[in-house]
Amino acid sequence: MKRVVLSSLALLALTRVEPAVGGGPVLAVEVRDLLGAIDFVPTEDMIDGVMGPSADLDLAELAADPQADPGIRLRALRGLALYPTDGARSTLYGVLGTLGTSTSGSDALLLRAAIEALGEIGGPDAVSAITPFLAVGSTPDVCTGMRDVRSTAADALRVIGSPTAVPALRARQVEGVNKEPCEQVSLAITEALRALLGGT
Amino acid sequence: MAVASCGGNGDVGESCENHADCASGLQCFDLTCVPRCDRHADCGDGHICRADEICELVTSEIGDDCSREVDCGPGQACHLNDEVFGGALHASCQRERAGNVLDASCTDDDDCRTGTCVIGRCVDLCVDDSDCPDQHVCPWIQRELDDDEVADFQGCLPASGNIVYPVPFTVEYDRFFLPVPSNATSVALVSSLTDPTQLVGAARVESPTGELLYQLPLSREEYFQNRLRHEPTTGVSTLIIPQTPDPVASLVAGAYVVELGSYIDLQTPGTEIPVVDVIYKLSLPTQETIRLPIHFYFLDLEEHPCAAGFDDGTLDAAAAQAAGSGFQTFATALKGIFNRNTVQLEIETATYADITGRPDLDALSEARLGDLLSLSDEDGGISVFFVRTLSPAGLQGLVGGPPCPPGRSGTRASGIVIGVDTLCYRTWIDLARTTAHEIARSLGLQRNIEPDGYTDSIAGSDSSSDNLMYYSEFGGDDLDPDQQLLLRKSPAVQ
Repeated sequence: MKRVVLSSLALLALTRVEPAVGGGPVLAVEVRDLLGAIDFVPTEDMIDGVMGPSADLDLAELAADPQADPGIRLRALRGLALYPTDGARSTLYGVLGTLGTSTSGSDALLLRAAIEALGEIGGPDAVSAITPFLAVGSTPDVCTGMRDVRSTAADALRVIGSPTAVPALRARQVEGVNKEPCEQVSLAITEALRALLGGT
Repeated sequence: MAVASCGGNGDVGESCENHADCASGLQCFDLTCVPRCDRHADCGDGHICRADEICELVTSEIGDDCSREVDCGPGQACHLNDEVFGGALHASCQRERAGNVLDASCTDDDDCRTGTCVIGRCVDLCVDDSDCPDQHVCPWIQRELDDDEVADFQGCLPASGNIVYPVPFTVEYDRFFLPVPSNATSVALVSSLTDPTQLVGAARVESPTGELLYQLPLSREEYFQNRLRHEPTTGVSTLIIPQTPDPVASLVAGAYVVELGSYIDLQTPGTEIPVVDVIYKLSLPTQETIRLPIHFYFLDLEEHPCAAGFDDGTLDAAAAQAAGSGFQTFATALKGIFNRNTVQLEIETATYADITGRPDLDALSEARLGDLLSLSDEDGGISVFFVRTLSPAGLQGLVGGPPCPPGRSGTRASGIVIGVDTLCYRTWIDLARTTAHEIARSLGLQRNIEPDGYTDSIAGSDSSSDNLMYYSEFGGDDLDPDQQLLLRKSPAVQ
């Protein structure tokens, strides 16, 4: 949070500064507004343009800050997907660790965003961290609310493209208590396997 | 012809020998008392309506000059000769053809009784509005001649509403004249393909005076440099004119020159022949009468992680309509935003529908937007879809096109999508502003300012964060008068 505030102060000469929604860290208005984009994902150039050269570190601090506005934090997590650094990956792993048991509310959204971002920049090393989310909140024969997180996990494994994810994905297709009950997730798993196995 | 309106007592339909035999307000026409005329069209073929509201037979010979349909006698029609005199097309009385009447669709002059087919409909020639039937006017229209030139004439067109002109398109890429009648308020050029992977859209647009308004942008800079903002998109695209009230790029009557086609990518020609429609919006509705119908669609939102923001944890077509529900709070707020900006959003007559059996679209990735929007099935107005969540994470909404093909359902750009996971961290009122922003984009408004500083194409536009078109969720809900005007000009707004 300190770094974000510092960045904001650095921008004071050019911009207005006001508290973020929800009484979280103070953000430059330009930062808040860009991270609050309605219908597009800001590019790295856009983010660097308002956050400066330490944008990845500022995003990481925002992403990890439980006091930050959930909507801003959500976009900060997704923004880390533009910065394939060890620091960004570390932040994303951290979020998986702290929010991994969340089943509802904005924490579930943050978890989903972290998995999605890790799919972009985590590489094969991230497979083992993501695969547990293929079954998170799953109850036999009941399509629970965590379906969105599970399908995001399948999508992330597809994006990573590592065959090491295949057993975990296949395990969710096998008849029995581990079979994925939601068609939304099953379709994502099938798509992931199709991508990983070359169209089968 | 003498008129005696007093003394007679013949009622409508009774026989007569002269006008004096008929009651006040009637005339004797074909030996029958009928109401006096208001327009020439009231008198039937080959007659004019005189200033004293009496129909009079026109006598003319084949080949006589004419300038309006009523200059020619019974069994004759005023045909364009495709010869230009004094800047306008010359016409003469010719034998009437066995074709369609005014307003009927046509592809060729021979399809029409009067031998004049323009913008896909049969047209009667006229000099002023009184030459045309009720609820029609007499604008200037452009006609393409055989020598690749364009000339003007005056013809009867509806006074209001939208008319659609299917442009004959027979190759993958072509250049054509886009006629804009003088009573058109806005024009939407909608091009589409069946192949959702190929791009389709305009490559070049010149104004009737030869000014280059748009050429295919190959970069973000070029996109914003164009006076008309447009880019080919996959499956379907829409180019709306005007995008600004500024004189240079505003809509003017005349023949625009358009190049349009399909593309594999912006450097490679496509392989499919586009279907091209021009939608003309005729006349500008008043603020009091302007209406925008709205249609809500709900994907499977069961067991949603943000269900605490719904009423009783449920959000579907039935729950959304319940009086006092959070969704109705949202709908009222949405209506309020548009009302303040001079458009009456028809929330009271909104349609509600559930979309079931599409788990592949319940949580929507940006790449599948077209698949979802193509499920819209209510023509007219705007379609709004509610999905569980959008990918990439953090998106709150997506918009087809933009802009959307005005008033058209079932295309890959027909509507907007809202992710209800926003309700985990924002209110229904916040979501209403987000939805209003997306609807306005779908209707043709541009972001008032882009995060990298580009502004919309309206000169002197309000670029503050108080504006509804501000790109961020932390914006206001105001539109400046120019934006409001453009909104009312959208062919989707009735």
